Amino acid sequence: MELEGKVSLVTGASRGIGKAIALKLASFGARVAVNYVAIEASNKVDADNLVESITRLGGEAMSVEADIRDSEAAQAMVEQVNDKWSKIDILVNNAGINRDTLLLRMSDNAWDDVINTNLRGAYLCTKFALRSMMRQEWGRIISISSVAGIVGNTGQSNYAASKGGLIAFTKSVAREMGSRNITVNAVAPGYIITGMTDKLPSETREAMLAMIPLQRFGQPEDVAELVAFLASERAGYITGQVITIDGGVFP
Amino acid sequence: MTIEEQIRDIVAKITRVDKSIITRESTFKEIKADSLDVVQALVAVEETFGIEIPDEEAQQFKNFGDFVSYVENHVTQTEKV
Repeated sequence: MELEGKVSLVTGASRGIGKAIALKLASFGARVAVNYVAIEASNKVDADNLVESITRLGGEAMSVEADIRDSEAAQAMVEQVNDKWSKIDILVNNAGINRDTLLLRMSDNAWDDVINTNLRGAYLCTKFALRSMMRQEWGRIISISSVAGIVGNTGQSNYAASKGGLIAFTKSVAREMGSRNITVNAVAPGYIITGMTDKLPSETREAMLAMIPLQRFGQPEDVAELVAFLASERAGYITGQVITIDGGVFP
Repeated sequence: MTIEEQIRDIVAKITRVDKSIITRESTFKEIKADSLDVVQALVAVEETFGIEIPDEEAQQFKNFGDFVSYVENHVTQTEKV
């Protein structure tokens, strides 16, 4: 298995795309730390269930609670993984939220919450996880951005700003860390079926489907395949890139 | 092992130079340490000795000896054994 012996940390992994990524990395043999935040009680249950599923399939996983917006919590999470498995090879910055509304109606809280989780959270986790990667001179950092971060989206100025920020962050850290054999990439999913997108009105979904050349919405597993590839040895010469995975909407 | 020896080991490991060439008078350039090497050494030394070295202080280090002196002056007596 090509990720045998690797230790991975996936933020926001209790459900959605993060969960699919955790399962995929585990299926390739990586040990997986499943991060969740205890804001909703169901997250802990979901994270524990995921750890159990991975274990049942013969993999190795642990759940780690942390509100990644908080510097100390993010550092403690990374230390917890280091304590258990002595290193971190793969970090997937997946944790993300949206608080959609037109800019004129946007509250400061809606702006701050989204930026702090999606962008500040990734900054903190990356900073702390890099230490182990620098020591071992091998690392993979993969951030889940969004096509909204490339082309923008009505009602998502906060979300798009955070996801666009992740792209610029990715490109900068890729330059900084190249000499240490650490690759840093982003993936930009389009319309992927998750709890986050289920909330959209059906007319919006119909209109979006009509724009997709591959004529279907994406599945979390589609994104997970790409992340697993970027995490592997095979992707060793790819860094600082943003790979769109949207069924062909924005070629 | 003295503080100086410990720091020399850390720096030599990161820059992959023979530690015999690292003297207190060596500049980071002479040790072939680029900016990332220096930052990595700072982080490793901070973790090893449980101290914090602010960037403003680190930027004043002209050579390896300045780095060592700073750490020697900021490590508490009990840790100096």
